[in-house]
Amino acid sequence: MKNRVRELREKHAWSQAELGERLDVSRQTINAIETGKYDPSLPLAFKIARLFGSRIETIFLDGEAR
Amino acid sequence: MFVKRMVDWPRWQRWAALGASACLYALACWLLIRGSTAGVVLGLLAFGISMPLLSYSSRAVINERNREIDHRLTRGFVPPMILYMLVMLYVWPLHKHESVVWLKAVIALLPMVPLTWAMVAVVRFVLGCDELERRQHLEATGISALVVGLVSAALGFLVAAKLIKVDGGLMLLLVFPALCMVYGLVCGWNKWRYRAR
Repeated sequence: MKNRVRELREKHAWSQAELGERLDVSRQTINAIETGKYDPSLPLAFKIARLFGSRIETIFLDGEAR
Repeated sequence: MFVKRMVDWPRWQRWAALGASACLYALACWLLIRGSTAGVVLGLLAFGISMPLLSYSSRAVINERNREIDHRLTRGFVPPMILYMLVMLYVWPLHKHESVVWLKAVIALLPMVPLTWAMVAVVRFVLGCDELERRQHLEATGISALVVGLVSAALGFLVAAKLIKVDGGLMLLLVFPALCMVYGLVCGWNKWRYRAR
């Protein structure tokens, strides 16, 4: 699944560690989400969407959808 | 506390801290193996200092902050391991001279108390991890169980075919350390898999 987490994080000028602290997850988890190595659970995805003030479907994009 | 900010140290300082903690840990092992009373005291002291430093500096090296659960793991893991070593060095050997069966059994099983205490700290740590870390721990648990199980089965077949002789008691004692070792290796491999590009 593709996502815009890195783009939104950089827009807020946060480091991966800072975003991790805000979401109560490790920097490694943020990195894995940003690089597409790990798809977050729904609760974490909603938490990310809330933090960036966006809708979940605008941050996480279904790569298979046309 | 300085360890909380260890991740902000320059890269070479973080690596130096990890190297120094590894050296201190090796010194602790060497002192404990030597076995003299002074060596044991100094070894346990070095172990008590090196374990938290190893944990904090290894996290700092991979650019991770030390969280409350990391401190809690250290607080919950190091004291029981020191107690375990004291029990193994000074109490457990007493079972050889004990003739009362129940007392012998109590002394023989005494190391299980600190070991269980340490494992409770590990379980609490894993439960406090985030979702990706918990998945990594789950993978490590599964893989380590499979690897140790397969090696045990292979050894069992060789013993049954009378190709090798194995001390059953020693083998049973080695199962848990083998599980921990493979678990640690898989955890390290997982960290590498999800590392920063």
